[in-house]
Amino acid sequence: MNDVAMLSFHQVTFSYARTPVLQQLDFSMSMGERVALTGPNGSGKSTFIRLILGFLKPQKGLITFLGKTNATRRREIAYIPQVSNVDTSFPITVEEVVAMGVSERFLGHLDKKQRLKVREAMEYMDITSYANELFETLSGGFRQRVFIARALTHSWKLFILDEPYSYVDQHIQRVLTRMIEEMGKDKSLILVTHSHEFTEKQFPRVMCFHQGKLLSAQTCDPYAEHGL
Amino acid sequence: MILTPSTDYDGLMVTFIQLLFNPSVPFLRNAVLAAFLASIAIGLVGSFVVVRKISYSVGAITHASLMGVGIAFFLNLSAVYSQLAITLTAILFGVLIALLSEKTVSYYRYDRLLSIVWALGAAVGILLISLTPGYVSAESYLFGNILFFSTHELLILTVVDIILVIVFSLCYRRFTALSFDEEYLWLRGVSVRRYRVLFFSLVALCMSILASYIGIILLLALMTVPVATVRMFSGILRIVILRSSVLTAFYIISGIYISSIFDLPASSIIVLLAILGYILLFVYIAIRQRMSKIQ
Repeated sequence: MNDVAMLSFHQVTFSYARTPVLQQLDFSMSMGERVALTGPNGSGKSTFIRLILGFLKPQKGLITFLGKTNATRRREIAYIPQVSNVDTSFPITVEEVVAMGVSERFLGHLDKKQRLKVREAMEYMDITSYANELFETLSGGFRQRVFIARALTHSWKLFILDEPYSYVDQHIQRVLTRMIEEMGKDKSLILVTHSHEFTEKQFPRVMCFHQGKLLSAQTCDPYAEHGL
Repeated sequence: MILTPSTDYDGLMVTFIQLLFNPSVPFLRNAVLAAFLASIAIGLVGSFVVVRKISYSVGAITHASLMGVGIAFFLNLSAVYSQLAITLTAILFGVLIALLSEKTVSYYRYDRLLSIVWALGAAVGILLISLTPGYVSAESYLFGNILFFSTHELLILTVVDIILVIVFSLCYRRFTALSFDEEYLWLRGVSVRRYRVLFFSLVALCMSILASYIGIILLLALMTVPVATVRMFSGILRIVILRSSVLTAFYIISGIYISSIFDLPASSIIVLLAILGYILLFVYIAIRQRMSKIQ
């Protein structure tokens, strides 16, 4: 495993109004590392991800991604949001959603190479035949597939899956396994989940949110939190 | 009353069509032309407004632009400068709302801010109108007059349509992506704020021009009801835009025709027709679904 820090949190504190969510949190992950973050609802998992992405700013502490403190490298993050984070009733087609991944060109218009990337990503996720379907008509698992296809259209260093198991889909699990097998040593993966449908081989490092802190799985038994 | 009441409706339709091509009755032809031109802008902007669920934001921009009406009266501006003052005020409020709608502002706070913007613009506008010497009223901006369009106004409508069609066509992918998942677009390095400001400025331009001609009340109804009707049987946004434009033109022209027969206010008839169309389709779809379940 490479020793260069992919992502680090140093004494990060974040509160919503007067409700503290993360308190003096320290976290670091190296390049090539795969981390599963668990914890019950409201424990701070989503806030943690939103801080990484730059949607939220810490009130105290420092976050660095690939050695930078600002959000200029955010393009190197492939983010799979929770389906509930988007307006699912918006009449947009599957192809249009996937194309968002390569839409940084002028006004979002795609060239030949980008169209090919979109097609390849849809083939990888086995959603090509749904290209012209409306996103709002798809099931939860299919919507997750579309989001993964969108993330696969561009290069990335850090892949973040925010609770993909909300919609358990065998296909997503297969893709995740394949992605881990193919992942280079300069790439990292964070899986946020409140379930435990992953193996130790897939995610050798499991951490758990507890009272605004991130603890290793040995210290904070994620299974115990659910009374399992 | 344009046409004499009669039970011979076929004959009235013929007379209506003859009047459309009668050079001595230009206002009816202009009104029908304006209906087509307004429908393009309404279908385009209204579709985005409905699917983005920003009717309240648009209501706030349109009512706040009453400040522009007040400024125009208070400074006794000419017709051209009045229109400019109204449009610029609307765009200013559009930009303000675009900036306020950023994700960092929570929904409830944003909702409250919209109400403040809505009330502020309207209050200042009415205050300026009341301070203007002589009798002036914002009634035409609220209720408009769908029947009387000058050639100059038709020209302005055409220019607005051209601007809207060109910019919305060029930015279609950006505007849909922005509406669907703004955060992802931001992650990809796209200047979300710039596109949001552009979008709300275009909406403000459309609303201020059309409100000056057909009135806020009719405009807000036409922005939402035909699109809501079309959304019941059309999915793809491009199709929704096209069909709602056609439906809007149909409602306006039918409204003008019916109001001319029965000597009724055209705006009210148009709104009622649109709502009736919505209810009829809603009931039809509900019955059809019930029947298919039984079968």
